[in-house]
Amino acid sequence: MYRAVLLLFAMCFPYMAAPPTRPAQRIRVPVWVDGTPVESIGVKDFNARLAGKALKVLDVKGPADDLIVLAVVDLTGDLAYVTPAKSALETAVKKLGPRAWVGLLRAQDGLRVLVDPTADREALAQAIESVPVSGKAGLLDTVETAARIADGILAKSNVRVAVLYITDSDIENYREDYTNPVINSSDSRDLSRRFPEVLVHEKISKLEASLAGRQSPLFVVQLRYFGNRLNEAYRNGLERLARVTGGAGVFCRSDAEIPGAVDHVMGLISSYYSVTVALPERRADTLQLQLEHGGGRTLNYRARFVLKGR
Amino acid sequence: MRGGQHAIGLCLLVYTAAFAQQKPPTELERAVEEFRVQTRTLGIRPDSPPKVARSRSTLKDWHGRLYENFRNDALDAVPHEIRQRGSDKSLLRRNQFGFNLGGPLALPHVPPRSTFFSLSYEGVRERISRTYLRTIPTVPERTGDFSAVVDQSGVLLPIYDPASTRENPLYDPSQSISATNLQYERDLFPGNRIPTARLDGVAQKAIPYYPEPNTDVGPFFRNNYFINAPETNVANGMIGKLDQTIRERHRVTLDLAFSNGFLGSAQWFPTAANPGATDRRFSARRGGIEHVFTATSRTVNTASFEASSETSNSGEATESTDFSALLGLAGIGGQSFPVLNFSPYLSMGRAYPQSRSARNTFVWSDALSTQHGKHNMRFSATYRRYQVNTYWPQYPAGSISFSSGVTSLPGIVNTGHAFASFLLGLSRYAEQSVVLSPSYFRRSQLSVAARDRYELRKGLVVSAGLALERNGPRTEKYDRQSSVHLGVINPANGLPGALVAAGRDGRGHALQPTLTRLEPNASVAWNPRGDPKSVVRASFSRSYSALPIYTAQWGTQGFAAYPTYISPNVQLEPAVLLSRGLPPLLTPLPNLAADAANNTVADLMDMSDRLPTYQSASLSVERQVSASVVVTVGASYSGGKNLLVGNSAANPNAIPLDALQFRDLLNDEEFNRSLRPYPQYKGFDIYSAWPIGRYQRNAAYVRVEKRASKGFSLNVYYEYAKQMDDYSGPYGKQDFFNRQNEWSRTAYSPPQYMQFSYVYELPMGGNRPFLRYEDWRKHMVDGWSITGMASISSGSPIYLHPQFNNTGGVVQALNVNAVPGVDARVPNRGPDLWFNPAAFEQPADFSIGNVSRTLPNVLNPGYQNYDISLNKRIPLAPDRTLEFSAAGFNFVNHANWNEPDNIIGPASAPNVNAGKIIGSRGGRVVQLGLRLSF
Repeated sequence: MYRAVLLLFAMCFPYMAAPPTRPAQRIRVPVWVDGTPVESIGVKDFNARLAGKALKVLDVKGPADDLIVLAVVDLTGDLAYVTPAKSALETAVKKLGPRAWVGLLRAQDGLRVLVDPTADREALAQAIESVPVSGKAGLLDTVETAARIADGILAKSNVRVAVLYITDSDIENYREDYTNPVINSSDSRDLSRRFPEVLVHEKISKLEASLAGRQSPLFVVQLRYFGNRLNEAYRNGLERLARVTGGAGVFCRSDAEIPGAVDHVMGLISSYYSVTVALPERRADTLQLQLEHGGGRTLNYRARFVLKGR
Repeated sequence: MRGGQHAIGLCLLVYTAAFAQQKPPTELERAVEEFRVQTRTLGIRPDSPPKVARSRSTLKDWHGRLYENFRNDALDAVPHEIRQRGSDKSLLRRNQFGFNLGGPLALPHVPPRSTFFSLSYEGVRERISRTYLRTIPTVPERTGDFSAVVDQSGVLLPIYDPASTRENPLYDPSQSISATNLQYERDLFPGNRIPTARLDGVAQKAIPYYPEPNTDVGPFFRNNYFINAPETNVANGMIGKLDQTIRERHRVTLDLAFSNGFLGSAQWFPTAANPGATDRRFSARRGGIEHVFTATSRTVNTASFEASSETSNSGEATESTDFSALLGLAGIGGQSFPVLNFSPYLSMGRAYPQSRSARNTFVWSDALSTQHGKHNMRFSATYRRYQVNTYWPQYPAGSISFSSGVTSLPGIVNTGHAFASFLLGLSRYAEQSVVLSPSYFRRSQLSVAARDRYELRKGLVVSAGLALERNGPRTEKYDRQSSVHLGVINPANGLPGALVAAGRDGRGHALQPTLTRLEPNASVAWNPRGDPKSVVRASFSRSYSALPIYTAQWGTQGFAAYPTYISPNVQLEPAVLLSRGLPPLLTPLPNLAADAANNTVADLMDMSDRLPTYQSASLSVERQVSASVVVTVGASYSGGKNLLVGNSAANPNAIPLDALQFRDLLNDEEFNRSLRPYPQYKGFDIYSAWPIGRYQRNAAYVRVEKRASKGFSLNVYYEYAKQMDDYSGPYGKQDFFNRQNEWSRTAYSPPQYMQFSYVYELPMGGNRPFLRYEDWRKHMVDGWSITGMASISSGSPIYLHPQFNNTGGVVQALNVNAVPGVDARVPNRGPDLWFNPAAFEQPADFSIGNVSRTLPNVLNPGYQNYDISLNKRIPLAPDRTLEFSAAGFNFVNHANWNEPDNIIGPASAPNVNAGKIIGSRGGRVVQLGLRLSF
């Protein structure tokens, strides 16, 4: 009987109206501590301020704590870049600690789950090995969704979460046309394409505004270096997207850089601290946070947040 | 939605805990469960309910843009060239508008989110002023009054009466012809005025079609006609794409596009004699299909087919006036105004008054990429088929040219005038295009290539490739193709050079051979000492380009006729009299007799196995100097041989320069012709298709790329290059027989070039450091960015040209002479004096100049341009944005100087403007744009 009631309750739940969105009462700040690794850093080691007023640090999760990495592969191009990237990702995943679980998704032709987050390195290696290399580039179309999933996890569990994109995407290989192609070849005085990257900027700005409201850091490893102007804008855009979340972008200029780049980014992910800070009731939607280490260590952290839901 | 997701997650957890009665999940397990819930709800995992997955393929996933770009002269600065002519208006009305829509399509019996489409439309409506400054006859000149006409130095230009020509009994043939030793004597027209009774009737009827001067920029009545006329541009185009994924391993993309355009050219004259371009209608169609097959994770095959067609129609065949009859010009038909040339004045009538062409291209290709160990291999094959259907008659109503010769004092330069010869109806040269049918040219090309990228060791990747290219020759659908063959004996004179036609006399469908070439390439990328921050790159490649199919009906002589009339002696006799018109065509077409092209400028194809050949090598070092700054330093070499050049840079029928010793005798057409290698022809038309040019370019460059940090990204590129060739320039070669003598700086290649481009997201509002308002002001300060671009280049090498070319037709493009000991450069150069004209002089009659085609150390004025775009993004909803942009092109309103006057006159009549710059050009243009993205 008890089970039946529970089941009925569970079945009804999805049909109930969603509760009104409440403003976030706390934020998770991704932080890197410079210098030699510290055995244990706790809540008391951090001082947080907002507009000069001290904030309460609620929790700190460090490199030894639980970590979920959502690795999203976006591989559509030359196999010469894909193979070292796959190998590098396999190696980097194997190097992660046992409390780091990795989920694998693909972005080309829309976001798809390949492997749920797991500690099973062998299963991950097999999945990475068999990731298809085809389709249309998908980073720009899927990064919002990936960040939303990551924030959902962050909201439901006390783990560190990071999104990692491994991409060889060329801005010219998207379904949506960001290249602003010439439609009328006879229009010789078209000045609107003198700044051809305008659509790339527009998309990046839109995504940046959206990702500024997310709390999981985004990391991007671009495997291939395209020299043209559109791809320069794209590269800069990826860097902006990563930085607005407190993450980082790494751009490989040769195949030889790929293993090091993936390893470096995975190192950044595994070494980050997630500092949970309580927010005051009365506050602005955009926050400029100050964080200090009590022991005088230099901190690299995401300082600006946009709160959604007000 | 989000609340619903959480509810599902919570329920599942409770449900699982209740049934399984297991220990509470760990944080990681809770995280994974939340991941599953979210991804299931989104329909992006294999076990998502089909209904959920399908519901995603709805209209809400469609995205698009709606935009308008607006330009109007009220926003712009008046262009410098217009303000300098005393005008304050340059008409511009332009609207460019369009939309784009794309997203998934839900099709029956097709898996969800496997079909995507994209549709883009753009329209353009524009009217814009075009400006030109030209020289036309003064009002007195139109009536034969040359009493005020002066040469470049301001001295009266004497006009002689050809009817008074007589032999000089005192002429000494052992001495050069000079003012004191004339072979022929002539009388000046009294008062330098041609009597009205002597004016040609056809010329008098043509004169009313010629406008009168409307400005006086000068000097000496030159630059007296300013054209500021509107051009109309209407265009509509659309691009559609459909992308279908089939069972993960197959993807098919369909791509369709069309565009229609109309270009209403600016009217140079308000009459039928308008020499400006004709109105043109364009259309472009393209369709393509691509299939990508992912056989395994290491093997991908891409097959594609593309077909495209571009058409162009010039002029309208609606004009019913027979202008030749109206003018009284006999022997010429056609419904367009005949072309009348009297340089240096603007001509009357225009070439190609009615023409049409269609260029179709079909491309099949397949590429297989596969990986084996450390080898990444790519094999590809491409077959291209080109079709050009064209009807392109140049002078259907004839072209009649006049020179100063018959109104000059024979043998003495700086006498006589082409317009005076025209008024007398005495032409130097005439031709007509009799084209009965279009041409249907065809060509094909097959390319097979293989490439291997191999990681030799960590940090060292080597790539090598080889392509085999087979270039088929041009054919014509009905074998209506011909050329002079330099190895066939001409029956008229028994000398080599006769007309041959495709598909006749045992010849194949093509007149040129099929050529097969191997194209190697190799490259290395190396991280020295394994340091990923540094990359050294080196590359080499060699390639060949096929002979293109031009739009013109070049190479069809015999099927079409180009009757040509040449003056027996340009100083003494006309080619034709205007009053008598052109003689009728005696032989019906087609006329494929071996001597059918004799006495014309005959079409000549290169039938050798030469192909334009390009070779390049480069070396660069890239270094990441900080997290966001990459510096690249590089050097490159590129060179080419057998490059296709035109009639000004190659002349297989040129007279050797040592024939200049014959001096004035060269003006006798028959004698002149006898000196040519192929005397049965006046000349050859090689139509930019003679493979003889060479070039070499050495360049060094530095590039700094600063990726976005604090909202600012920058890219700077600087290059120093030295480019040499033996063909470039507006005038052509002086010496066709010694190409080394023509080796000089490339005419249009500036040695130094710098470009900046930058983007700056202004640090205010929203998620940025400054002015983070929460109230209405946030809408004002948020979302601003600046994008800019600047390019600065040094001037290109100056080319000088002597005022007169008295070489009896031996030299086409005469160079100037250097004055020993005089420096061509001037201190504090400016528009008043850019270079020192005293350092150069007009070569003596019947001699060549000793200065190179372009000057090695004197450059034209440089060029600067600065563009900027200010953008404001206004979020309307999470998925909806309005973006406003204000773009300023040449926003600093910089005036770029025109090139200095490069004509060097003789010491007796120097060009007073030589070395000076008349005017500048450019002006700020502003475009406002509004784009709604959803």
